[in-house]
Amino acid sequence: MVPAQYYLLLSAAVFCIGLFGVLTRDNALYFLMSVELMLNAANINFVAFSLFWGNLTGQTFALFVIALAAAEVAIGIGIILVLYRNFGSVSVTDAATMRW
Amino acid sequence: MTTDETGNSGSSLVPGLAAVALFVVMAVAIVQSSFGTAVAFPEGESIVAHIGYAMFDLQGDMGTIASEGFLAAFLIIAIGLDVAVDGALFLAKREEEGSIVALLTDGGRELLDTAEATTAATAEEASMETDTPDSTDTTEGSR
Repeated sequence: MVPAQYYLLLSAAVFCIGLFGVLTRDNALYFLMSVELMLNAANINFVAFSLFWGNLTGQTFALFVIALAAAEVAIGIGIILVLYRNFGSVSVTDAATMRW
Repeated sequence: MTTDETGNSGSSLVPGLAAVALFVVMAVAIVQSSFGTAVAFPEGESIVAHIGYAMFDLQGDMGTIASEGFLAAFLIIAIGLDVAVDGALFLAKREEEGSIVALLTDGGRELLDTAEATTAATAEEASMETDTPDSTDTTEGSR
């Protein structure tokens, strides 16, 4: 069996790539993709420890995280659409206030 | 546009160093940690079937692999997905027209050109209205 440290290193790398995207990009679509990377990093941990401990709770919970990610993308794309209509761009720095 | 036209794309890489530093810290902590002896799944058992048992709280009756019940979480997530779809449609719906079909066909681009499109449509309608009586008159005149 592959040691758990390898899965954790992969998960940490994917999470930090997502965090890098969130911290450095202005485009809201990049934001969504980066958040998806971070959620999938958590999923890697869930599945890895589920396999490691022989308990199915992690794998089942990973399915729920995937469903939550789908819901988040649905809302996120709706927000991006409104952002594009009102500002003409999808840059998150343009929307600096809650009302416009 | 969906592309970044502000000219500063990729120029703010300095905050990204925090992500790199976090990865270094996490990697050091992971490499130095130990997780004991692994306990694998039993041989010959269907993992997918047992995930289904766990999802509907049947693992006590039918399952042999340890897990918890997720029926309540399953129903809550189902409601959450419904709310997300409704929220996405509410956000995507135009305030003026409120047509979902129009949104699906033009991708939401029409609203930006509303002023130009309205002006053009008005001018076109006006020209058609002025053209139609003339053509009718011409037809009647020819008769």
